[in-house]
Amino acid sequence: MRTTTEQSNQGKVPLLLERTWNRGRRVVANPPMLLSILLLGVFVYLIIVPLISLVHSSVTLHSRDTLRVLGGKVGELTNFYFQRVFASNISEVLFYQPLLNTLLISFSMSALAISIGCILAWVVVRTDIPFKKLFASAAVVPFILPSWTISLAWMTIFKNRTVGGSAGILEYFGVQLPDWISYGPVPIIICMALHYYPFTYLLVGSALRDFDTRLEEAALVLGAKQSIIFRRVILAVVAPAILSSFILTISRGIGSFSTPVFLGNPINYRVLSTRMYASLQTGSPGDAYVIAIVMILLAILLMFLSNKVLGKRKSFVTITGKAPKPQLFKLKKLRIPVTIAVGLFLFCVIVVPLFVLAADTFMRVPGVYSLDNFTLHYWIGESTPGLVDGRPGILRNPSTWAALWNSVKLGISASALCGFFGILIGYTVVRMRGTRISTVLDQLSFIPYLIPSIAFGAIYLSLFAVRRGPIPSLYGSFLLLILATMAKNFPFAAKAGSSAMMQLGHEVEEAGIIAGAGWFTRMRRLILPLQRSGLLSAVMLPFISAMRELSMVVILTTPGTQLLTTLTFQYSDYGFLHMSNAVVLLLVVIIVIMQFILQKITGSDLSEGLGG
Amino acid sequence: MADIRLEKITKRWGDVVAVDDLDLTIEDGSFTCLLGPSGCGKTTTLRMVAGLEEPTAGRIYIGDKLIHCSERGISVGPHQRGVGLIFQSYALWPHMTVYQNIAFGLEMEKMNKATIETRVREAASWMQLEEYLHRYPSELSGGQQQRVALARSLAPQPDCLLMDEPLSNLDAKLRLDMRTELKRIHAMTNMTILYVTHDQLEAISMATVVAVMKDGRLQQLEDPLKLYKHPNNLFVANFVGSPPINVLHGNIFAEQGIWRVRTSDMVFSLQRNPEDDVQIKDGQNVVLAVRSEDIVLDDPSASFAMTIYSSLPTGSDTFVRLTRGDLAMMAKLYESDSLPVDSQVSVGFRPERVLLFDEDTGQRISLGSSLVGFTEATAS
Amino acid sequence: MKNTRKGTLIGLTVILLIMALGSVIQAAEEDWDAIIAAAQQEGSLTVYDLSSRMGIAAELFEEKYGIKVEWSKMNDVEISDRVAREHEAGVKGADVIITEDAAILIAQLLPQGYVVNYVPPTHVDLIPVEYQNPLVYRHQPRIIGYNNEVYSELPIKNIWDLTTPAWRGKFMMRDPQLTSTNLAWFAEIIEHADLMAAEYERHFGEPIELTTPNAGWEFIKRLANNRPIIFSSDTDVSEAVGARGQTDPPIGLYVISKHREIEEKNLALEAAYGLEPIMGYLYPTFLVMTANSHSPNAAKLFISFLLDEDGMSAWAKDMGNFSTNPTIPPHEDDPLGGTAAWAQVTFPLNAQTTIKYYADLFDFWLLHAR
Repeated sequence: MRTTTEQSNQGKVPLLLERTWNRGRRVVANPPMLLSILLLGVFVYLIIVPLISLVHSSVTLHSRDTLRVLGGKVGELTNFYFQRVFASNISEVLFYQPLLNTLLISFSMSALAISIGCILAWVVVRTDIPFKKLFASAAVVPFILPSWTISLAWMTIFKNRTVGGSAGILEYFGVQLPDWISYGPVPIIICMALHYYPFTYLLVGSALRDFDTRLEEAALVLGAKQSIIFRRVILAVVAPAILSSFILTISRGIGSFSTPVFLGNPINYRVLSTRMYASLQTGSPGDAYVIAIVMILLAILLMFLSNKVLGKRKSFVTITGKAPKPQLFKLKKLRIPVTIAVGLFLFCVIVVPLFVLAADTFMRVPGVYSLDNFTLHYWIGESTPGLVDGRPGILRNPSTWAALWNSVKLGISASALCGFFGILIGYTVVRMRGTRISTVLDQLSFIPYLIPSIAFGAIYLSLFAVRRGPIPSLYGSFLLLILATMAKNFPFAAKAGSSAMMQLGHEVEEAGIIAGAGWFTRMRRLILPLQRSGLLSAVMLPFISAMRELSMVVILTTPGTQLLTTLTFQYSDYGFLHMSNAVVLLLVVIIVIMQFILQKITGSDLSEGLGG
Repeated sequence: MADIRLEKITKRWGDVVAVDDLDLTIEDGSFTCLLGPSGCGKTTTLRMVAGLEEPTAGRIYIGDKLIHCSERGISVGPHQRGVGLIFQSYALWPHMTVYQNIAFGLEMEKMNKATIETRVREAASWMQLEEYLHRYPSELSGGQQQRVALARSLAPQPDCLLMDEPLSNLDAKLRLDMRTELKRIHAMTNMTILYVTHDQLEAISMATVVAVMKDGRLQQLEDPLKLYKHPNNLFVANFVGSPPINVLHGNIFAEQGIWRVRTSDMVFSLQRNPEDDVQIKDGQNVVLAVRSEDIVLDDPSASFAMTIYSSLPTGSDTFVRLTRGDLAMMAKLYESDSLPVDSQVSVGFRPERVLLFDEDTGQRISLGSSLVGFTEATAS
Repeated sequence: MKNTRKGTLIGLTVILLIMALGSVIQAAEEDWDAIIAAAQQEGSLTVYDLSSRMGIAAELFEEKYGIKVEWSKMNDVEISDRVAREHEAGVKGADVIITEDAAILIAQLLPQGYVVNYVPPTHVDLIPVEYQNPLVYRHQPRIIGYNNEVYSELPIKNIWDLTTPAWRGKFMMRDPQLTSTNLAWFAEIIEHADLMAAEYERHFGEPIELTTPNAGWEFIKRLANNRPIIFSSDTDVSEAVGARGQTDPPIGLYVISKHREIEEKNLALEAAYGLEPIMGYLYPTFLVMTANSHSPNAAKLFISFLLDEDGMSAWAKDMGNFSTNPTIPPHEDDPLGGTAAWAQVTFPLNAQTTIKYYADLFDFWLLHAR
């Protein structure tokens, strides 16, 4: 009866052939396997090849430098740039000083941001101050705004006459400001801290919120003093959150571009990112690529350190069980002063900058704050010779609308692609879990997170500036912006996709397999309908980040592909600060609306977008 | 209807061996439970039968059909195996109504609408779900969801039904209800059922055959009641039964047809079971094992004194913890009684219920001996 | 070592120049009417320029020929980088570029074939030959200026004064790394090292002590060390210098055409007439078409247009811009009355000088300007 058992061996070679044939057929018919190979291809093209190209570009001679390296031919291998950056008479200018500045700024800025974030988080979460809801959501706003908003506002207020041009508001009212307040490390550190403190605020805040007060109560019952409880219990539990916000903040600090560019460049104070940009600007891309490599290595080192430190302690944060509502710390007499202090702080960080920027856009002659100087020209004025080189006001200016349209177009296309790939990556990584290819995909999708935006821009520039074999040059094309924005946002999209898939579990799909549904049917009828919210956050976050991204795209945009962000940068570069301010305000309005929609639709708070 | 045969099935993930050279036949129409602790490979085995995992080596047949052969690279798709599968999480599709959930598999078989409707209603009526057909899974209780999952697997009328710990998400009372339900389904359909569980009570109360697994290997394939009475090895003895079987470590000596087991301070004399056909070596390390319900208190014949550590009456019966030196045992009395702490009792074992295992290999030596004598050990 | 390097460089330049000459399109045989027709067929063209006044010229061109000019304002580095990349990529980009970066144009863009020199038949007999290879369409003086509200007369007598502590942090200029002409000016100063040394001695009454090869390098080093303030536009410089109500205004280097904004912006600006030995420099602006222009006829027509009075009017209506077309006279308000006079009080830039010093000069500035 059981004849099947007997019809086995017909000699070794046919068996091997049969096995290979049967297995091969299954691999081909296995969509996750095919998908992961496909995705691997996409990742290699969008992440690995650009990285290799970056390294390659740093050791080949660029066109302008044929004036420097005599007898050199464009494209030939050279260690000229490495030597120039690390061991030449201008290395100090090109690399060592900017490196020191970068480290100084990143560390001080992180320290300040963390202090602000912790204090705010504690006050908002654990004390009995009023207006909690308002404060809680207001505290995150600085991070939603484009990162250079505060720097522009700072310039508008604190600019002195050292570097010429119109002075800021304070000088207008007769206050003489020393250089170190107007430009350089101090304002850079302050402005960046004010932009990045929400990292700490959110992470520490949620640690404090989830913090099981029973731990605190247990210590209290055992007779510990408040100070000891704070030090030994609260701090110990919140420490990992502080540590991870430190890593997040400092890694952003290392790559940060816009604040140093506005506040450092006027006095020639350079950090790695602005030095790199300057090198690109002044026609020395080779130097820029070497610096980009250093920035990437720095970021990887940080990530490695953080994994070392955080890896061990992570378990601390995951305290399970429903904790009782924490007992709020009674501020008593201090309640009103603290409320005023917090309110004032948020007012200064959110309302004042926006107000100052807005006010500045209504001043015909910059820096003269009188009523007869009031004008709507920079918003709706018609082209007037002599005012901002005859440009019409931004709402009348076709370049504003073109840039806005480009920004929206970029946001939509990059985020749609991100959503698509996010779901696919999530699906593949989760479905193929345990296999090597899944691990590789997972890790590859994380790489763009490690790379500072401006370095990422440089990588794409290096790859797509010229045709390389089968890879066409995409320089100046909109597609390049889309690809770069998409790839830069892969980590968030992949994370959103895979966490949605994880939540879904594999059994939902397996039930479909057992029922006999083919892969496309399963995707269409079982998986995708259940991924809506995951898809949405995989789409919306890249959209918002594409709308306010500057440091990456500033390298990649061309006059034909100007975005709102690069437009503000360009205006300020031309010295049209009021035009720049007006565009920033326009951008702020758009971003706030988008953020509002995102929150309404997903009900998620911003902390998910931090990619911690 | 069909049997399921696994031949030399091995599943490896890297260096981890989940299932190790498993030979197992699940008889046609049986209700076979795969029982074992977590990580023993039972779920993997079930998923390999379903076609959701691919064995590293070996062959699987369902009925006469070869559905997997690693050697030849054959692996029939899950759907063509004619199996139904119930997941631990039920895996109901939350965006579909009960009706759509049940109908999905039928749609995939390209049945016409009328047939689907009939089949869905039939499956629903079996599981008493008629009034919930247009609800979404989230609007149902855990027990109802479980029934939807069952109806969904039964509607396409599979030859075999595979279940992966389907009751573990239910509370104790519902679980009992569902057990009776499942057993009834089995009786009515006479389907081959392969059921994975780590709950030995569930296995013994429901299965017609229990397969105990450990570390990817089959330990024993047995009728559930025999399994309880005659575990093949120490692992099975320990794993099956609650509270766990009582064990005493000692050395065995044979004397005129009597086995003497010497522990640290006692010598047990055992009348060997005539069915036992084993050779022992004098001084061999053995484990003497007795189930708690086979301990008899105040037994007049062969007995020894122990102290009552504490007693836990449950209403129907009583668990008594007994100690003697470093020896501790749990006895189960079929009466409710609260025994005074620290009082002395004489303890004996029910005849032919003393199990002996080779301590080194864990294998069973005796099918059940009787305690015939007991002496205090003397220092030798 | 440095000398041999310079020698090679000059040799190289000569070769490059010959190649550049070879690439001049023979214009005389062209049928100009056909070009106009074809240009109108093409409908539009893209221009990269450094001057924002291109907007006005573009409108005039569109009015006259119905051809749309899409123009972008960029600096020299951007223009040359973009043209090179667009060429490599083969994408549609600029059709005409207007650049002041003579060194890169002559040593790279032309010999590598990214751009071609084109002199339209309409002007080939008009434009002086020395401005035809490559084609220069206008000249501008970039001069040192001061605030005449605070200073009734020129506050410095000699250009060396800019390196004194009195003017530390008070000299403004566009970034020499981005503004090729400023770098080229430095090259001229180095080239005139003997003059610089003599001026130093005459002004301060003692010979200069050198820490660098010559007085030219020394001037640049001392200027850089004196913390000049760097801007990205002439507008910024002229506004910062000329803003009223200052007590201690800076001195700046900017194009003299910014003086047209004195009334509009209520600035107090005066050029440093009489500054020894020079008050600035006079530089050419080049007009070339790209090799892979997608609208070559429109490009040719546009080049011809800019050489004409119509096209030049965007610049020529204010003083400070001089067309190379001799039929367009200098602006009536021009204080000196033409390029020949300006060349006497400034250093006219020479591409060969820039190429000679380019490699060292760039890094030299980067190193000392901190």
